[in-house]
Amino acid sequence: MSNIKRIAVFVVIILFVVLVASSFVGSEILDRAIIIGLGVDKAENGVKITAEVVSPGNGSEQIGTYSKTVTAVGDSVGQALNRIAELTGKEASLGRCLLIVLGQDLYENVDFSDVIEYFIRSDSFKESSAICCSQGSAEDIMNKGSALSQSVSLALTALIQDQSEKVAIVTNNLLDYTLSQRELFKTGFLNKVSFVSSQNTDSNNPDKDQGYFVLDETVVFKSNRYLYSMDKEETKAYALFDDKVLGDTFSSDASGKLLTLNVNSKKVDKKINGNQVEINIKLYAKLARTDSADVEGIFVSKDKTEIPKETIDDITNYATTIAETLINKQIEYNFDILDIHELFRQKQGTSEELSNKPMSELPVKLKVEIVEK
Amino acid sequence: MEKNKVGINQLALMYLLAIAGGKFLNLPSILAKDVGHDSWLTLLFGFVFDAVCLTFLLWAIKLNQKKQLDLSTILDKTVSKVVSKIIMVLFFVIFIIRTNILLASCYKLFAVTFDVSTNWIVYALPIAAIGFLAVQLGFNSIARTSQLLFGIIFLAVLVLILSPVTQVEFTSLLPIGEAGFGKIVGTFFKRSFWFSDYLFIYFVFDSIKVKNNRVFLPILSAFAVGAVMTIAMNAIFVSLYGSLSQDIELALSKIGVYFVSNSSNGRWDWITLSVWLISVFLKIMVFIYCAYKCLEKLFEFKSAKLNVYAVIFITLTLMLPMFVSTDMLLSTVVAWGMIPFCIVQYLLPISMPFLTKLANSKLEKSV
Repeated sequence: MSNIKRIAVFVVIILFVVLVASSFVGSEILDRAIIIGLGVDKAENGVKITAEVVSPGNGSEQIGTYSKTVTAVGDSVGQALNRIAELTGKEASLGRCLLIVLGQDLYENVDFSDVIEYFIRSDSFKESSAICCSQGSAEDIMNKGSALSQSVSLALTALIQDQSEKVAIVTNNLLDYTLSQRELFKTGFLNKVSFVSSQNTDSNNPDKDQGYFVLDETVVFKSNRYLYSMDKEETKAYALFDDKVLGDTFSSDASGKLLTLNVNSKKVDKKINGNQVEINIKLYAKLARTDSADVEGIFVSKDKTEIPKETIDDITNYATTIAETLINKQIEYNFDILDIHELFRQKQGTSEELSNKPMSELPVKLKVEIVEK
Repeated sequence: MEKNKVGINQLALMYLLAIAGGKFLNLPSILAKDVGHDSWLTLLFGFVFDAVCLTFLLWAIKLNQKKQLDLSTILDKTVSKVVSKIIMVLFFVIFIIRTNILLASCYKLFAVTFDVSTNWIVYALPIAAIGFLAVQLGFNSIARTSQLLFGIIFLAVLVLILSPVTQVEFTSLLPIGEAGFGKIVGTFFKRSFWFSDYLFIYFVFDSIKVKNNRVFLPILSAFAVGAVMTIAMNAIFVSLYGSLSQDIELALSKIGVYFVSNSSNGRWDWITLSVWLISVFLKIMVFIYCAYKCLEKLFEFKSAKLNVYAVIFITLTLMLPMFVSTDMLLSTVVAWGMIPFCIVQYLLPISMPFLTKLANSKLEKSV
């Protein structure tokens, strides 16, 4: 190869490398608004999105600033997010979004399927993101200050994804909720988050409401339409049916002393017997002490018996009553969050008849047992 | 030629990596659309069918050890030159379509998972360039690279597949066989294009180094591991995504995204997914190598240097996704070509031991 040819080949290779490198359009982190939480409310014509955007802060900002919220209105979620990009001058990046909060005005009054569809159909949106609905507007919740965290989204996500399993609250993620609204009986739930104020000790934001988030109520939906609000006791009862959720506590003074039982582990057995579903719940509990709060599991060694029989009987009756109340509410409002239809599907397969079968035609026989361990 | 020589263990590792590819990206959603949560049964049936064909092909490799004839010579000596060329055309079409589908999947994966977009030409050209470099360096270069990277790729796939296992409700796969046996088997035949990953072995048929007559064990073991991993991945995907599975185009990418649920974990699925993607690119290299070899046999050019016309032609065919979507390719060319493709995918491997024996005996007679 002559020198001229060599130079020509070299130039072509260099041009090719430059062309390839310059054609990959990545986006700089500073050009992106990294959203970690989204509140969705109903607007007059469409939706109002409140996004919590990570703001690591720079020299001119106050120390401790972690995130800021941006609110925008649009005909649809896509439009509102576009508006956020307009307002912030940055591309709205949803790949790290951890939380979606639906505002009360939205979930109680409209079919919000298109909101859910927008997120679940996005390739880069995490379906494992936490989702809940709020008492009042989602914008309000997103603009509160968490007493123990720098960010509302991080505080709520930790509560929904981690802590809830230890304090007897059944929670959901975007994927599970979406599937519950489109498969079989098409009913599912979202936790209802409310805010409890505490004293504001944040000197950087003295005017901001600071406090704690509470998840002790649950809202039931059918095909993304509001159906029924479960109160605290029904929410507590719902936790009894989920063996992944522990930390149920029950108090009783049946033995003359006020004793509290803490559930360490659980066994929930659901089976079909003829046309009836049998649910047997076995709660492994011990007396609540400051040193017994941790979950110890089913394989813990047998300890001395401390709980009087009257206390066990009393709490068994109470647990049975609240669990039966939830079952009756399912029949009354015709929803299925205990997956009764799913049990039949696993045996019979999916059919139109099963999907449309009302809860009143699927009787449930319940047995609750408390074992000291 | 020595540069194309490949050891049986290298071949086994390459085969294991090749089984994934499209089966981890597009196929799960396609099968979910056809048979719902029974898609893993279609895969199971497909792999059983593949195992039978692969066994025949391995038997042929064993019979070919003495003479080391290549595929083209065997076909020329047994089924005539014309049929041999038709078979090469079929192989070429299969490899080009598979390459395009894989390229298009990776293109989308880059855009949606890594948020990096580019135009098709500058995306496909460097990959094609590396493919032709592999052709020039010989099959052994791809085999050695696969061998070198196998451990880390395998580990990345295991992490991606096994991470969400604890969160999966496998009861959603019940009742088993709900779609019906006929539909499950029918779907396999309809989607048979996605199977038979052993096709590349035909193009190193005369270059396989076998030690101690061990042909079956390494390849069949690799096949079994690959099949189990693919079925497990599919079962996990369908269990997790239920009725949404049919709408998700890039299964493995989604599984990774699902597991990374908490901010403190960051997006480590990007690392595992990137590592796994290397195996997809290796598979693309293998397909480009095989497509080039098809043209070599078709037009009978034999030279140490790359044939420029073949290179240009293959490169142009890789621009196909700019004009035709992969959905369109699958619903037209692949659907129409199902039966001819089955000839090289299933009939040819089953016939290979007999064809090899026949070609060997014909050569012996002529000598």
